[in-house]
Amino acid sequence: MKKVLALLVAAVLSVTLVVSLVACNDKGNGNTLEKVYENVIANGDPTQATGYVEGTNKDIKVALITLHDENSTYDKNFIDAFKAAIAAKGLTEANYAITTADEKAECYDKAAKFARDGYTAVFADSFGHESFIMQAAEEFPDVQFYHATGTHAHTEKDLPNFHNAFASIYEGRYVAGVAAGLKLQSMYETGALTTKNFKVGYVGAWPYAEVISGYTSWFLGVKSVIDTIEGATLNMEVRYTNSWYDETAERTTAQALIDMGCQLISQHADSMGAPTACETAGIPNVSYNGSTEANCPNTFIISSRINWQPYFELMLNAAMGGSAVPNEWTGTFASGSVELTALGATAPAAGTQQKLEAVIAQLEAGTLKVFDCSKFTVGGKKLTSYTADVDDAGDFKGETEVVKTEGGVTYFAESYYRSAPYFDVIIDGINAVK
Amino acid sequence: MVNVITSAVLFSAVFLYGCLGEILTEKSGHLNLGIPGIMCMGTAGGAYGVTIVMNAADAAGAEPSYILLLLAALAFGFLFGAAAAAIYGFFTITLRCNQNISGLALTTLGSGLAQFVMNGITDDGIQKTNLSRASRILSKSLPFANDLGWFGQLFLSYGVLVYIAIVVAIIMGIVLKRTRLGLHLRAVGENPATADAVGINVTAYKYGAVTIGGGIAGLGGMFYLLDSTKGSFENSSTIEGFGWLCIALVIFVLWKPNVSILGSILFGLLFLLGYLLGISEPITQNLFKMLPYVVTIIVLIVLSIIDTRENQPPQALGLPYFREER
Amino acid sequence: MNKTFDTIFKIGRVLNIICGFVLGLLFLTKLFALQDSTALVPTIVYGVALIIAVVCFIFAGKAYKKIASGEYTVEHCVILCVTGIASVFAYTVCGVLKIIDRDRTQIVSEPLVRLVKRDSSSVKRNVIVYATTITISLLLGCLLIALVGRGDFFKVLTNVFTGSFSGGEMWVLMQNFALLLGVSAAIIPTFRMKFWNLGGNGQIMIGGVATMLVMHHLGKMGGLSQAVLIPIMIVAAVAAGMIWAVIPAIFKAYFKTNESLFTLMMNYVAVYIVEITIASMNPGGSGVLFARDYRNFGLIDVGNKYLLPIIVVAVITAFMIVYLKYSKHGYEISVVGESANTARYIGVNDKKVTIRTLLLSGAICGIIGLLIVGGKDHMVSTDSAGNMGFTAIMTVWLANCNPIAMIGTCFYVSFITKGMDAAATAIGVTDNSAINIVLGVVYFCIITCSFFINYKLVFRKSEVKPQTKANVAAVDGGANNG
Repeated sequence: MKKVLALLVAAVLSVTLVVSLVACNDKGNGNTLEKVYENVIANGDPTQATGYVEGTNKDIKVALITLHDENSTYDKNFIDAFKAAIAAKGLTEANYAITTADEKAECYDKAAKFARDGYTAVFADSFGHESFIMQAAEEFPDVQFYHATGTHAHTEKDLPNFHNAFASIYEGRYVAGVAAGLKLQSMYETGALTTKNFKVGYVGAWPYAEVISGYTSWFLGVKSVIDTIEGATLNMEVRYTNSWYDETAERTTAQALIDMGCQLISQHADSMGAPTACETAGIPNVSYNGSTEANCPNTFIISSRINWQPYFELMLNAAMGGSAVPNEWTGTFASGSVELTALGATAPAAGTQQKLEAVIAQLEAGTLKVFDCSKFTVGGKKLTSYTADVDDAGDFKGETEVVKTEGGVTYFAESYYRSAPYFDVIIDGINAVK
Repeated sequence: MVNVITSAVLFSAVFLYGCLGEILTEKSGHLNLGIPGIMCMGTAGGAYGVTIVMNAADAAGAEPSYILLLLAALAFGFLFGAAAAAIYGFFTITLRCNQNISGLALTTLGSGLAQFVMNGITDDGIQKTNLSRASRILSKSLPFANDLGWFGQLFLSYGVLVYIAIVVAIIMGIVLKRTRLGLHLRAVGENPATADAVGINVTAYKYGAVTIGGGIAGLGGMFYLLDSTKGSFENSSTIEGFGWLCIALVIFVLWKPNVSILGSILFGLLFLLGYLLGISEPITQNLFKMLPYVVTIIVLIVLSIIDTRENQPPQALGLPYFREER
Repeated sequence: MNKTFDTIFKIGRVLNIICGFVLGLLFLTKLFALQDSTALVPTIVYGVALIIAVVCFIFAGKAYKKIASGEYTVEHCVILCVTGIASVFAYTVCGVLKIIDRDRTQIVSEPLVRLVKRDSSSVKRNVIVYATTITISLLLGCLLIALVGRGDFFKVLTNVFTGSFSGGEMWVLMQNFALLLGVSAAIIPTFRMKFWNLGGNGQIMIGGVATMLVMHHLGKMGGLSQAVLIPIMIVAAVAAGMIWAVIPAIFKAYFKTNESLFTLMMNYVAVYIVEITIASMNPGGSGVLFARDYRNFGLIDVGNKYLLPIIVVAVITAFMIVYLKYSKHGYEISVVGESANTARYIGVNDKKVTIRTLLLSGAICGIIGLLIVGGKDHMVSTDSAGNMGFTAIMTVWLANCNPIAMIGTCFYVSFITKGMDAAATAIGVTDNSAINIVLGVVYFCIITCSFFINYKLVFRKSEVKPQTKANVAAVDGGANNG
């Protein structure tokens, strides 16, 4: 008996060894990703892209799985965009279902149920849903599964029906940062601020790439304005709440940042905690995922958000018989996926609107790169090369070279090799716990 | 440093209201685990009352009156909380059902109902803004507070609702310790059979304590909406979480309303400590988040080891009273 | 037509409020306690109040049709129902209170209705009570969801059933049912001992943490195979659950520390331990563990992926039934539950029994944590327990701490939760608060059901004359003489 058991264990171990060797070889080194499931960056109206075929079959059923119900701003963003896409495609309530699922096996159960009930497309909106949606995709190869913010679609060759999507929100944050920088500049010019050592604060949720990319791009936006002021310096304090939604934590953290001397706050967190703290303290605030002007009329500057409607329309189109959606897709300003809300009525500086429009035009044209390596330093030195953890194979080590040079500009190519952000460098001027 | 204490005090008022409500309830022998749901209902009540006043003021084209807003918020927050507690009271006092179960059922029902009512209110953009306008009015501090430097900031810079909480705590302490009413209530909580034999109307005291305690706890939810979050509301899970903390806080302050003032400030401080210190590293941050609960457990253990009469929970806590079994 | 209805609605609402107010006043002025009047007057008052309340309910009923067609808002109906319920409630409370709590300075009279604890209840009666509760709560829940979603009541009702029983959904339902039954089996011995173990959530989570640590450090990082991992996981999960449950037990046994609050606080500490565990395993910092990486280090599926928890829990439940009903330990548990003094008198060491029972409870919770983290989700999160610790309290209570009835109640609660969620999705309700309201109402129905099982209402027999001063004196004089 013991011998049999030993043989069994040996067999299992050797099989594991062989499989892992094979997998290793498949990865290769450097940029082999460009051969597999290339990330499609939508640089214009997706319906005008080459190969786009309009679908016409309206007898379809699609499903949306959200983490919380519509009372959460994050999920409401998806639900509203989804309903708008349904209406734009001429579909009705009979064509879709919306449900909530936790980031557990429940997500798989619900996705599998939809697949069994004849739904041809299932979309899940939260980071933790990924494993379970992939599990459903394995089991139902004829149903298309879509997942926002995920990182595995571009490497899973065995799952052609599993898709990831995101948007170049870092560009949206950069523009919001420009608005913030203009506000700081005007505060200095009117004497509200008496020092040229500007300090801003950021309330982040989790210390990982998606959040780091967000605050760095925002910081660089602010810096682009501050750098035009002679002798000015800019520093940013980042604190994490380690939660996507914790009203008290966000409010207290924002208050702590204000007490540290931050003159302007932004955040990547789902509650109204930080904007509320800013309004009470009279500190300008740049919010995320929706305008907070109604509740914070005196301090709201601007907000950036991802508009999922273009992607949903692509998804619906595929379900209706049209062209398939790429496995990895990144929306941009040009595709209508990145949006900025209207500027606040009282807080922003004069002339912000025109300046923002100019910046957006440059971003869309590709002449301005947010992560331009000449505009920031890491440990005192400019970045010339960086291997990021793009394949997210669970080893938490970088393997893809992401610094590119194009048109004479060397930049960190964010959301290029995959849709979900992978910028996890802490640059100089930012004080964050990693 | 002053800012730290000010944040803690502002935050602690939520706990103070909830704690006082639960102390009153527990003094009558009822462990009301429905306090989270009751505080949610208080939020809904406060929002409802404030919305009525703001709508009336807007219709008349005038600025909403401070007194009217305050009264509406207090009255409706109290009423909704008391009504929810009355449901719990009915099931545990009249129907003699197990208190833990009834409380848990009320938590589920209360938070769902409150969320439902709040959604109805905040779905309308105008009402949403009204809530935030009303809360800015209500949380205004004394006008001269800022001029008195650190003293003013530390003691005088809070909205009126915080002071009301402190006043309620002091009154409750006096009533419980020095009045006949309080004596009877404590008797009911310690040994209802004896109290009944002496002629105290046990049921009336129990109902009174549970309902009024529920009303006070409801004010905690109202305070959270109209002062802490300045009128923005998304879901009831945060308030529910605070409700559980209030139940813990009652032990922390040894069932004494006077101690609860300082106790809730200390508790609020422990709760916020990690964030106030700007700690972001996940493991350290979670250890800080654990702090209030660990301290409560320690207090529980120490109290039961020391076992002095004055610091114990009411003896009949959690037990239904059957006159027939006397 | 609209205006007329509006007026009628307003009158009905006012009547409701007056009714409740008047009854409250009557109670306060203790008019009920006046004993020289015959029983007729209070009865007339009750009767009139009841008629008014019923009339108002009929109005509320008519309003439902208007609401379904969208003419009236949900607010209208909610207000009507609330005031109707409030007036009936006031009526009942006043009536019952007056009867149960008599003013000692007044003369005693046989109350109209009396509450008496039942010694036992026939199985037939229990079945009727359960069946009524199930039907009422099901219909009430469907009604609420239909109101909120402005949908068809029957569509909701059918979806509750198809969402739970059709196709693959039956397996999911059985899995949820099995896990809830497992947690209930863990809680039931502690409740029979009158030890209020509210810490089920925490115990499950700690069992899950132990499982996750083994899966990660020995499996993913250590490369051990499943055959070696699984026994280690079982031992780790059981041990972890036992430790977490026995800490409050020790303090209760030796220092009489309040166990409800202790176990409640342990839940929260467990949540943060889970967060710390995730952070330590996830240097990427996203706060979420990628379950797919751990699929090969978890439990092995038996048949389909849902069968393993069902089999394990079936074994646990069978064990618990035998343990509680036929073993010496089970007897000792019920003795300690009756009275700690009696237990000590007959030589049962209540401290030992407390600790032993909580060790068992913790072990079972640990196994459930293992099934969830190692078998179902392949990752641990602060929501791993799914609040089953609290739901299990409900099911155990409804079953009156009877392990066989517990099977039925767990099934019912799992069915209603899953069914209502499916029905809500089917009619397009995107607001989860409606489901919480339904669950709360169902729980209160459950509590009322348990009340009717444990107590009976004794009505005054009509031949018994209310005792007057003369009667009492005669009886007393007679008693003294005899």
